[in-house]
This record gives sequence, structure tokens and C-alpha cells, in this order.
Amino acid sequence: MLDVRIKKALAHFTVDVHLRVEDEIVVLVGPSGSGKTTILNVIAGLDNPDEGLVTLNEQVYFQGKGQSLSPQKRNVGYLFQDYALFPHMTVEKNIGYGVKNKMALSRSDQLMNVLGIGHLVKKYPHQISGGEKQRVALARALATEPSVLLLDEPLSALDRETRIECQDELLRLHEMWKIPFIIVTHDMEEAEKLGDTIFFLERGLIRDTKVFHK
Amino acid sequence: MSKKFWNCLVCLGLLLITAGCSAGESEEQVEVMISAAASLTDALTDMKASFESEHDNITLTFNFGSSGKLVQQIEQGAPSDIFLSASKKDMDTLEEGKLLLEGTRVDFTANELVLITNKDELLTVDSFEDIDPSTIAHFAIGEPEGVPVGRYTKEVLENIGLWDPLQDKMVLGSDVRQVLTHVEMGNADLGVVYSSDAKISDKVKVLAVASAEWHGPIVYPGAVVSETKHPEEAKAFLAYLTSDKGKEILKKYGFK
Amino acid sequence: MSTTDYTPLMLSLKIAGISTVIVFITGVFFAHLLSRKQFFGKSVIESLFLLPLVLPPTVVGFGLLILFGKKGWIGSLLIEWFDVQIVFTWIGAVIASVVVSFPLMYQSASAAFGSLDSRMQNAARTMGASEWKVFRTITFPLAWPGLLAGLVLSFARGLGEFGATLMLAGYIPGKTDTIPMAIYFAVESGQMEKATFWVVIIVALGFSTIMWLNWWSRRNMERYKNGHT
Repeated sequence: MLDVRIKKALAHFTVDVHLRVEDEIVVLVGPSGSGKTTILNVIAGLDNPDEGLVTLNEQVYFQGKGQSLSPQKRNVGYLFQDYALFPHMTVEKNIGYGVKNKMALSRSDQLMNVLGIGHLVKKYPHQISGGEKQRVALARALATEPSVLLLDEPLSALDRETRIECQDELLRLHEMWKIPFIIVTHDMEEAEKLGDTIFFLERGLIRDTKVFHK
Repeated sequence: MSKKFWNCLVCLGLLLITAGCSAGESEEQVEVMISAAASLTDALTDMKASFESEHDNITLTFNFGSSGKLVQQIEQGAPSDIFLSASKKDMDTLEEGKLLLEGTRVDFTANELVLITNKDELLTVDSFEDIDPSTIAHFAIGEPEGVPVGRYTKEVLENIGLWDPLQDKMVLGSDVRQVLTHVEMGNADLGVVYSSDAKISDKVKVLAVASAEWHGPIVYPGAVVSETKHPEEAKAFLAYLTSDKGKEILKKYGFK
Repeated sequence: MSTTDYTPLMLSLKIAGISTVIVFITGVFFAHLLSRKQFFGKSVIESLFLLPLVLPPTVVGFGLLILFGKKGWIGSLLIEWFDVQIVFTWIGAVIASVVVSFPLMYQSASAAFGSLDSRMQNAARTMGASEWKVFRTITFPLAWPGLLAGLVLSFARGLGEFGATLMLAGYIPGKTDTIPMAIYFAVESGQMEKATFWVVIIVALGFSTIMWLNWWSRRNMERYKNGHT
């Protein structure tokens, strides 16, 4: 279980949220600049809150006013907006980047098969399509076997058809992985399709919460 | 090219023309441009005040540089009324090019070569012949092919048979001031410069003066440039330079 | 010119080469260090780094003499401790070259690091990569086109360095006479044939390095252009 209770002052408002996430898909919805990405960065350790508490399965990631575990030591998978695939590495190298042992390596092979990107291994990111990039980025984020997966606008760059395909894939992956997924989006339809819980963010605060029982 | 650029160029041109006119018309104030060897800087700056106090209508303006560079400037038509050279060769170049006002050339002073060392150095050398190559690490001289002071130094060292023994100790300077710097900062044990340069530095001491027989005469020729618009005023300054008063000032700065 | 003495060429390549290696490592190190940090006085330090770019070579040379001369602050200690003399040696030429080309390397590296998408590095961090691994596998290769430009500029600048070198290393034929010095003194003494020979050599060297850089970067831009997803 992921528990996030943080306060962080931004330029125009203060992010002040409390999220408890079980092994479910949580969707953060809100207009751009409402603090969604900041929350993901704080969970990943790329940004620190002014104060608060972040714990994942009893492990403390952040507490008080600055005791922070480095991102390297957190077991977090992060799919960045526009994917941030390494342009100078092949798909295989991208996915294998954070893989530490043989067992995980065979798992990442399995992952590539599940995602249907096995034939792309020798290609570079600029040689593959948007939907393929999205899958590669997903495979890369999961290859390190994280305990929580963060996805920042994972589908926004895709056309409608691919988008629906990828949404189904995300749901399938979550079934397999059974870890907390936190997805940031501003697409309401997508949020309702994917989310077990939806938090509506506005100027750093949770305005509304919607819980589905699928 | 932009319109603005051309406007500026035209303005600049007009400015130069009007400046030229007013200088020509004015009976009272005459500006005499003197291109002079850099080694004369201090002496001439001193002389400017006393000369101008005697000649109310003349203002002296200096352009200091190495004699070789000044010759090139004058050849390219840079405004100049008088050329004061540190070497005979450079003045000859202008004379051959008919760029001098005939009959105005005069050797107005001379210089000597001196052996110097850092004032904190304990080296005891009393004459050029006394230099022992084995006791020194670096010997600073002017570059012997292109730099006048280096040319004279080479003549001296060849004359006393030390040119070859000193070969691998030599650090060659691009001008006499650089040779002086190497000794002033204690990086070279010994150096050879003009007496006028040694005189203005308080960080070096003179160990010996080279005999005038060992090298060609180090004379400073001066002449009025043929392009001058003020031949009379220019001649007046050359006359002052060779007068007793002028000689006295030059002597004060280490010239002969 | 019956026999051509090639010392200036060898010496120039040696000095510019060693200087470039030093400048590359220090320039990349400081640019990377400062690119990750914001602190009071950062711009002062950066201005200090770029200072040799605006100072006249003789001023830089004089400053170096004050530091590295026999009686200089650093020079005297080096002689006392290691019996190493900087002034009037090729090491002095390397130091002069390092000082004047460092700003070019620093500036190029700093621009290269500054233009990187920080999400690339962050992605690597979330995958458990140590800071050193992030630098080695992400930051450095992605910044490489810019770093290479800085490297080539530094080499070219080192090759052409004259003013400060002449003051610190002096002109000692066979020991510290680099190509620019050979040219300068050949011109001064009216040996135009010799001067022309060295001018042709240094122009060819400088021209081909810069041509190569342009060719290389154009070729690689193709690869990188679509790369930043």
C-alpha cells in the first residue's frame, strides 16, 4: 500500500494532498498545472515535498521535512510524459537499462512478448511508432519489477484507435502485476475506463473522489 | 548591408573631411602626429610638456609602436608628420620609398646594450666576457633575426665568442620589453637590453655595458614624413629633439 | 629552406593534444557540476571561468608568469617540492593553452548539458542507476555532440595559441617553438617563405579539424534529430 501525505508550495498554490493507494489503479484528473506531475515526482523521489510522509509497504520514502530516500533506492516504475526513451539506445537496451539479474532479464523478455514488441528489440526509438514507443516505455518501467507504477499522461500522444488498444493493455498488465498504478490524465473518459479510484485535482487540492467497484 | 551602416559611414566621412579642413585652416593650433618607437615612450612623454610650453600653437600627439609596424602604417598612408625610429634599417625603408621629406633625416640619439640581472640575484658578472654558460639556466635576449635588440646582441656575443656556447640557454623575446620582463620576474638569470630599458626598471641591475665596437651603431634616426601638412612645425620638433634641452631629457631616460 | 625542421609541428600537436585532454576532463567536470547546482555566487564563478576569453593574451600571459614563474606563487612551490620548472618549458605552453581554451570547452559543455531533457536522467534514476551511471550512460552520450564541438574548438584554440604561450614558455627553438611562434618570428625576420610554409600547415590543420567536425555533426544530427522522443 502506498501512502502519500504531502505539502509542497508551488509558484501559485500549495499542493496539499493525502492519497492511500492499494493494489489498484488510481487516476489523478485535473487541468494542466494542477500539481499532478508534482505528486508523481514526489513519489518517485525526483522532487521533495516541503513536509509530509510517503511510505510504500511500510518502507519510508520521505518523512518530516527532508528525510528523503534517493530515487535510486525507491522501488518505483515511472512512465514519463512523451516516454523519455533513451534515443541513443536500442529498444532492447532501453528496456534492459535497469535490469539487474538474469531472472529479471527473462522476465523482461516475457514482458516484451506480452506487449508484442519482441520484434523491435534492435530498433532505435526514432524508428518505431507512437504506440510502440508507449509499449516500450511501459516494458522499461516494469522491467525493474517496481512495487508501484507511475504513468504521466501515458496515452495522450496516441491516436484514438491505438489509445483504446493501449488502455486495454494497461488493464491487462495491472491484472498481471497487482501493484498500485497511478495514472495522470486530463481525459475524463479514459479516467473512468481505467480507474478504480479517481481523484479530481484543482490547484493542488483534491476536490472530489470517485470510487468504482469493478 | 543595412542603410544605417551606410549612413554611419557617410557621417564618419563628413566628420573626417571637416576635421581635416579645420586643422588646415587654423593658424593658431597645429597638431603634429609623431609615430615613435615604443622604447621612446617615457622620454617623449616627458618632452611633450616642455616642448609645448615653448610652442603654444603646437600640440604633439604620439603613436607608439615597434619601428617595423610603424613603417608599415606610414606606407599604408596612416596620418603621420614625424617618424622616430629605433633602427636605421626601418628608416632606410621609408627613405627608399621616398616617403621622407628630403634633408630632414637626422640621428637624434643612440643607445647602448647592457647586461642585466634581477636585482635580487647574487650572480657576480662584471663584463660580457665573464659570462659562464655553465652557471646560468636561462639567458634572455631579443630574437636575433627579426628583433633589433636581438640582432645587436647576436653581434656582441659572436664578437666575444659566446654565441655558440650560450645557444641552449637562450630564451628569445619578441621585443626588448619581454626580455626585460623575463629578467624582472627572475625567470631568466641574465638578459641583454638597451640601457634606456634598464634605466626605467627598478627590478633589474646593470652588470656591464657592451663595448660599442662589438656591434653596429644603435642609432635612433628621425625624419619628417613627406605627406605632412605641417612641415615647419614638424621640423621645429626635430630641432628641439637634437637641441641641448632635448638631449638632456633623452639622457635622463638612459639614451646616449 | 633546404631541410625543414618539423619540431614546431610535432610540438604544436603534442601541446594542443595534451592541453585538449586536460581541458576536456576539467571542462566537462565543472560544467556538469555547476549544471546540477544553483547557489549564490554561481554566476561569479562562471564569469571567472570565461575571463581568459576577454582578456588580452599578454595579460593572461603576465598573470601566468606571476603564478608559475620561478618566483611565482605556484611556480616557486613546484620547484621546491618537485623540482619542476614551468616557465620556459613545453609544460608552460600546455598550461597557457589550457587556460585560454578552457572557457571554450566549459561554455560548450555547459550549453550541451543545459539543453538536455532532464527526464532522460530522471528516468535512469528511477531505474536505479547511480549518479555515475546516469552520467556515463545518459548525460555524456546525449551531450556528446556539444562536447565534441567544445573539444575540437579547444584543440583549434590550443593550436593557435601564441601570446600567453610566448610569455610563459618563452621562445626557445627546438624546445618551445610552436607553429604560431615559428610564423611570428619568420615574419618578423622577413623569412616569408618559411612563414608561408607554416601558415599553410596550420591553416590545413585548423581547416580540416573544423571541416571534420561539421561533417561529423551533420551526419550525427540525422540520427539524433528524431531521437529525442
